Amino acid sequence: MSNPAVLMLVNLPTKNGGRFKVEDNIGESIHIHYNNFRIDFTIEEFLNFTKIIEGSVVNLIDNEAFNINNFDPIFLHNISHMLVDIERVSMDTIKLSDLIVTKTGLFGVPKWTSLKESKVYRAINGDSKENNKYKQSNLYNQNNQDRVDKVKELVVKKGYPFNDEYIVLFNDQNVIRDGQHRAASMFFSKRDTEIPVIRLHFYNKKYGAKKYLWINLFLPTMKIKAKVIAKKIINRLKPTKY
Amino acid sequence: MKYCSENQIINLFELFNKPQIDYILLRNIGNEIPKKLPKNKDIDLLVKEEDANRFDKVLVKNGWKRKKHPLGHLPFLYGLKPFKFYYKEGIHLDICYQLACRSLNNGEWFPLDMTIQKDLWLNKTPIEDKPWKFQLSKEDEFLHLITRCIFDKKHFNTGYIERIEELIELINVKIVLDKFEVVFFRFSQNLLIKLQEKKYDTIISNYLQFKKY
Repeated sequence: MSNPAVLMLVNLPTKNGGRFKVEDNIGESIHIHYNNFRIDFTIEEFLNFTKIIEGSVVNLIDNEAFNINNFDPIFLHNISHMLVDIERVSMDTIKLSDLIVTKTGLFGVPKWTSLKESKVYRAINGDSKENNKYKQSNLYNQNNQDRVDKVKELVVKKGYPFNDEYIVLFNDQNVIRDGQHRAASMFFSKRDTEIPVIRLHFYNKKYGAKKYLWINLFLPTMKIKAKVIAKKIINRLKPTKY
Repeated sequence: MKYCSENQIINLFELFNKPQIDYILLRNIGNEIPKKLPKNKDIDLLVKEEDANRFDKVLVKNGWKRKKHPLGHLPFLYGLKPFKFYYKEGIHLDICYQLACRSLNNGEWFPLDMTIQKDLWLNKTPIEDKPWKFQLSKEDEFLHLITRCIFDKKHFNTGYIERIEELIELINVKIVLDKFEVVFFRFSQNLLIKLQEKKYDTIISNYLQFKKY
């Protein structure tokens, strides 16, 4: 028997060249594949297992102020490599107009902007061009506009924070690291109000956002070009052997 | 709207009927075939794999051209034989060799369970008064339409709903549930209830959020 309704929840390489995969075989079972092993779970068993893993993550981080329930699990997964560098976690309040997000500027170069100019806030107000072009992971069968509409509906109905999950900022910066949809929806429904956020403070202010976003865009290309030019110069300077 | 001529369609099926090629008409939503089939719309046929070469030769000999299948670029999993697509004078023929649907994962083509494939040919329904000689049994057609809506179209459209509602009055529920069990597993009973209650709008979201397994 084979199930056409397999949703791949995680699919990552393992250190020894295999794969770590979590699949939801709808109606059948949850499979965890780790290299050549496969473990089958019922939904209940899988949820219990995730609780155990959550407990392990909390123990590893070993920071009393860190409450795993305050974060979107997908965001936590995305920043999992940063978690060991957390120095402290603080609750803060911030005016929505002080929050910073990215926006596509001239010639497609990203730049920092206010929430009011963000792609999500503009999509809420009918200008969805930039937001629809943006590549992101959504829920199954959901496009970028569906997600904007769904989060707006939730925020209007349930307020913020819901599910005890907060917008996340890093260090002393006001760049939204997680929760742009929620922030934009709040700005739409409550205008410029003050909201609670979580700040993750990292040792040595690690993972801070650069002042100029375009550097992130061009630096890798510039590095490659510089290497090529350096190689050419070295080759020219080398004496030719006959 | 321009329609294909009935004669064209009768002649087409004659090509397979005369040499007794084993085929089944997969669906006829809105009873468009043979009189109201809009130009450039597909006729969907299931052809027995053993007859695939004969089928191809007959078509090519009679001036049908092979075309790239619009969704043929997607991977075909678990040994599923890729579909073929033919064209002649405003009619498209979409040919598959196993009952398949698109996987929810990356939309790859995916054969339904082997027991279903075997039953298709055993239970095919002979037709007397139409140009085609065989169609799916009511239960197989019902399953096929439901998998089309859930996996391929991700939506229940009006034409499909009308046919599903015709069939639900005629099907043997036990047979359908047995077929559902190897596709939808523990969601099968819920799915049947939702179809009986005509809750088409909630079926897909309920399926994706189903937790009782």
